[in-house]
Amino acid sequence: MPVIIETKGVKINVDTISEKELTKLKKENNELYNLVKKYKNGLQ
Amino acid sequence: MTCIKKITQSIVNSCRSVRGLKPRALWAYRSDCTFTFSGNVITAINCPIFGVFEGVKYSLNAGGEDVVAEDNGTGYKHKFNAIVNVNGQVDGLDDIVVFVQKQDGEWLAYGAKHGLWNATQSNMSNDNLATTTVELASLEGREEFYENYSVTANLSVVHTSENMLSLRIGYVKGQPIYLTNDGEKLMRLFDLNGNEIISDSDSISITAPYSGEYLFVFERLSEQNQSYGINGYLLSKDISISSNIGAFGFYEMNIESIFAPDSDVNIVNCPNLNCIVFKNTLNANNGNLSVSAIERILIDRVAKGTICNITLSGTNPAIGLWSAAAVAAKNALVVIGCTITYNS
Repeated sequence: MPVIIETKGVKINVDTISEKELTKLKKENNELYNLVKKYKNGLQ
Repeated sequence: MTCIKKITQSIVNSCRSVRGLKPRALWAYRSDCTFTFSGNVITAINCPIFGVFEGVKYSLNAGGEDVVAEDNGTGYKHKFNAIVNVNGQVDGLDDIVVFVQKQDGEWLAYGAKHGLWNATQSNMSNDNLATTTVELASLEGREEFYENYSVTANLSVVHTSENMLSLRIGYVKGQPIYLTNDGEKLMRLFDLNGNEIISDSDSISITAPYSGEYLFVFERLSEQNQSYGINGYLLSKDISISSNIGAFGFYEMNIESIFAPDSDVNIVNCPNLNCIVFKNTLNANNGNLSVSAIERILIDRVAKGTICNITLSGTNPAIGLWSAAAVAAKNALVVIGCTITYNS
């Protein structure tokens, strides 16, 4: 089941986010980036 | 039948008395507890959770005074006074029973029949070193039947730890008992006779040696975050954690509500849960929560109005199954800066 992470002004589909978008997210919101990576890596 | 009891023994002043209580008292919500009384003696206590009043020197005080009426039997107003120096700790502390220990070791209980209620509370920033003075007392018309209750039930188990939380959890013989924490302080497992079964600071994993209740005592550091994880069948269906444990995890439990306003909460497979109050973070990934539980959790959190992190993915229902009210609450939380993770 696709997982959505949503916070103020940002809505991310963990399954479909591209590497380019991930790189951009890392620069803008490292905490959220780490959360997305955790889900992408199947750690949660 | 008469209310007037006739005293048959001698009334004495046995030499020299000593004032003072030990600077540590236990308390519990009266309605959570059951007591076995024999006159003014409590011979058995069953409280799912105890809290602690930590004091210094003579900062704790307790006692009773009679309330006399011409048209009613004599009652006793119980009182418990404490001086605390952490803001907000005693706000709303009502209908509790307090256990204090005299210097000679005897335990006394106050409010055991009808509860102690917040009577006065005062904090002034420039007075008394900004400490809070609180008095809990019997409500008018709900006085106790004795000046105090002597406790012969074994309170030593929950009193041994410097700072502790205790829970009574039931298991069926052969069922796995599994607890984890971060290795800082001991978790202790007792039978209800006070015999320690096992203790460890990292994890406990045994098979329940008998069917029935067990007592868990978690020692904790008062100023540092710690995390605990427990599984099993909590007898009360509700859990209240009123102090600053960093995080508490509940795994495959039958609990229905968690009140932990000062702790983060982790949930795995607790399908009966319908109410969770938490500090900042609720990780309910694989919580197996119901749609109605998700609605209530989100709406309750909107009412709190502070930033939070809530994880509702894994085995929880997808957002398409949520109620409109739940979706609206999720949207409101996102607007104030919360991070919500869910299944689409």
